[in-house]
Amino acid sequence: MSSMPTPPASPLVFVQPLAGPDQRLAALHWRTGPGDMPTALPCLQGDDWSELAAHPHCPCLWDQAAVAVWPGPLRDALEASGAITVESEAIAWRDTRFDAPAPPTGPWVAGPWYLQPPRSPSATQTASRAQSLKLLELVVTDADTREIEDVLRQDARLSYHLLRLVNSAAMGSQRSIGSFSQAILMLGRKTLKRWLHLMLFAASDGDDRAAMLTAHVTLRARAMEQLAHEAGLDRPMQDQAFMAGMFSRLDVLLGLPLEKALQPLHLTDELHAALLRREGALGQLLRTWEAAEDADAPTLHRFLADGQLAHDRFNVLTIQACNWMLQVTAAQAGASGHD
Amino acid sequence: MTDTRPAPATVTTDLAGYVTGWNEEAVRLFGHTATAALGQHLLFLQDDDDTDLPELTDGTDQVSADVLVRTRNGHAIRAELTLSLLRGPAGDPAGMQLVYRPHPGTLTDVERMRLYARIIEDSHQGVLVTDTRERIVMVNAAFTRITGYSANEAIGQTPDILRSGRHDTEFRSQVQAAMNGAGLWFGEILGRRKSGEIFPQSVSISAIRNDQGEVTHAFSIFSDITNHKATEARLQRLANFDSVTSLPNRLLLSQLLGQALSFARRHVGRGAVLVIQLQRLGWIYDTLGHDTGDQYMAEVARRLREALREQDILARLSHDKLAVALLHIPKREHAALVGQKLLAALDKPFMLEGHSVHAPATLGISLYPENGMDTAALLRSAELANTRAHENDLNLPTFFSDEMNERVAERFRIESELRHAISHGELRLYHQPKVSLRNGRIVGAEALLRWQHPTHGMVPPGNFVPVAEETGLILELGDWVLHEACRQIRDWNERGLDMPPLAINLSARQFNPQLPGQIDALLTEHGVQPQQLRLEITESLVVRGAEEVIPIMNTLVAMGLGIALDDFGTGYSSLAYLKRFPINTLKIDRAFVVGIPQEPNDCAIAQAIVTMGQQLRQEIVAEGVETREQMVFLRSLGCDQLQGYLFSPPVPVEAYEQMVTGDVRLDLS
Repeated sequence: MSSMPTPPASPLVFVQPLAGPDQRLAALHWRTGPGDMPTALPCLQGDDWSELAAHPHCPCLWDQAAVAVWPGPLRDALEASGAITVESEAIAWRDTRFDAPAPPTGPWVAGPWYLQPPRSPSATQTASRAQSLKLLELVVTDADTREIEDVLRQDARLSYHLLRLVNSAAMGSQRSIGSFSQAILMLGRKTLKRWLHLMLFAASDGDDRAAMLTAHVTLRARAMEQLAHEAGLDRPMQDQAFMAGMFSRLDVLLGLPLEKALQPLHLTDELHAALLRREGALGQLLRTWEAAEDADAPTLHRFLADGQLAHDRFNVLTIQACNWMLQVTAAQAGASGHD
Repeated sequence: MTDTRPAPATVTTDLAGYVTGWNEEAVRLFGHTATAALGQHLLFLQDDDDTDLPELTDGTDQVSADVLVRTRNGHAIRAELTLSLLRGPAGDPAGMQLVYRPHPGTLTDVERMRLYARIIEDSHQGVLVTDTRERIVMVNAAFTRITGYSANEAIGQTPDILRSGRHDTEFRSQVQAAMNGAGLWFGEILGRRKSGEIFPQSVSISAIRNDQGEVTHAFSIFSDITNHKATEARLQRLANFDSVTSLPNRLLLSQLLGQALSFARRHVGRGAVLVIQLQRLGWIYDTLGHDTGDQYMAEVARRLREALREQDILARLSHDKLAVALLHIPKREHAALVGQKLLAALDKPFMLEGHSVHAPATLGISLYPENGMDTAALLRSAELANTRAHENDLNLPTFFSDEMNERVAERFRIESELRHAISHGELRLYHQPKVSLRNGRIVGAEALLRWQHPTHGMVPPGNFVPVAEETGLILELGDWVLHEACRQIRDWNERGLDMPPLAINLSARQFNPQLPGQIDALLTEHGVQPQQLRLEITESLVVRGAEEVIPIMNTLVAMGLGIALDDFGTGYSSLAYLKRFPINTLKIDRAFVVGIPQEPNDCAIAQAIVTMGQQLRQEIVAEGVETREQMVFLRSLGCDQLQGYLFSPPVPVEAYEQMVTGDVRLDLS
């Protein structure tokens, strides 16, 4: 056996959703880890990237200065894919809420402004009208459990309220919940329909963080599900990984401490351990994705090595999760009549 | 005229529908205290039969509708509901207010009670209520009219004052069970009036429970049917029925069997006649006396009747012989099963005069159309077969034809050995690991039944499962597997072993509406999380009847259990069905895996299954994978897991544990 030197691992790519002036998702900002000088980025050659980079409403942005030092062929391939290179000034940074219209610094806004507490706590008690209507339509037409589940997978607030109802005293159940289909079946169609009618009555779309928060959380949920799949975890665990991603930001969504927000839900022990203490297999995956969100290359590098997941595979997975997130958010925007 | 309408009840909730306010009128209307109601979701007030709320049109903050609500006592009340959105100081939605106006004529609980009391008191039927000590606590006017006891005389007594002494202990225990909550008992019995006169009555008896479900009282409602009891019925019985056992006699049997045979001739039916001879009847009459003999005979009749189906005919043929006609049987072997059941019923000792008497019987069987199509021929053949059993002192059902006897003997051998195996720990669960095609790690196992026969060694399931299916033993085998799997998982939990989920196979027979409750009880008993157990069902089960099967599956999934569809691709299940089943795993049958990668058809089928499964977000497991080529191909298709000899055959639990704790992996390169 000849001993070949291990080829250098591809750099990791990181993504950050950017808002437009209307506080909705407007672009995806991409970069490699600090100090990473890519010689090749195979993840940019696949169909997944072509699909993403060509998205009509949500361009993929790279920093001009960083790309300028890439090898020529790689730079050309990036441009050919439809990705845009921008000056760093084009992206404004914002920590706090858009209370007043911001002075126009550029077309795109980065930063954790949408992770601030909600403006009015009562608004978090309701679900989005558009999503509730969509769900109601499915229930009324006697759609499959799977289709109903698909809508719940797109909306953390709606699924939170549904799970809370399933575990309320009125439904008399003390079972722990590991998937949305389980919750739907526990409730039954008749009750689901009545609940949606009531939900619709008070539904509102008044949360200005909603669009970005949804993008952030759906991306998380989907990435978690894919990471679980890559880790060889089975379908039920993949479902739970998705839920872990989706509910990991309930504190922000509801303006409550996470522990308090989770209390009425009766999730499985695995989910609790992952969400509150970042423990267990799911906790490990959550930490992995959080490192990716923070663009913390050394930490992510270590987690991926532990999980024996190749860098390039992880990059592709990130791109795929972005594609899914865009499909979902586009469907929501369509349903609510925006855009 | 006064308005009987109760005052409107006002309830407020937060925007998610959880109760935040509950006024006095709400307490009165619904019966729930404020403490009980606050924090509950509004849906707890909805009656199951309620219709939906009307849709809210944009821009309005208020909507009205007729709704059906449920009170704490379970009564449905129709009310007009006005639902309004409450807004905070800044004009943003803050909660909801619901005002319920009961319809005119709606009964309050107090009025309802008054009406109930009146109806009971004025009823034409006698009513009697007892407490848990069986003391009478309430009677109505009709009770006094029928029995002659006044309320004062009856209250504090037990219902024994009405006993006729004409009923046996069996009957008494049935009534007792009904009073203790076993469910409504309905029948005709004899009672005794205060005057001593015996009278027939038609009675319903049942228990009354409190909110906690505990039995607090029992009631009986009865009418005097002295006049209804016609005497001609009695005359008719005398001619056609045996007086000791109340069974049809030979005459009636011939008539009934004759009718069945002429029907069978036209419709190509299959059936059997069984003759049972009581071996010790003469001895019992001679030594224990006539009354005891009659008592024994009656008990024999009762045991046999209990072992038979409603439509089977049981008759007394002669002094020591009874006959059974099984008018519709799907297979000839079933006659042997019934015969065996009847012999077993008579094999248990009889309590006679304080003695435990063992009084076995012999049994002969004739079949139609094989042994004839007329009553006389069938009875003669069955009697001949019985004589053979009697001469050879056989405690086995004996057929008129030898060929049948041989077949039955073999089946009985397997069956009795299998019973022995279940009760003597000869059964084992072997574990076949499933591995991930992502990283080669073990992600679960399928538990497979093995029979460690003391002399024949390991018996493959193919040799005993068919017999088990025919005899109903499959249910016991299924139960055993379920118990053993839960016990095994508990054992792993207790030893702190972190084992992946264990999957068990469910047979079609097991898949009945009781199954979810049974599994739930087992999980609780062993402290097993539903996520630790997986269920595998076959496609044939699914084809059997979606309407019957889906609700059971839904309940199991709602409990948190995952269901896999086994042998996928071999049955006839349509895609439309598949979408409706709450399954999360598809297993590609080994029949297709064998031909991979050289058979284009098998490859295409495997590809189609994987694509479809991915579309439905299902996990795809390939079964029976034996070669590396198969593995590589299946992995390239996007299959998630494999199971098969390539990684491991089914192995004893110790070996499986070692594989998991040693993190043995499938080499994917």
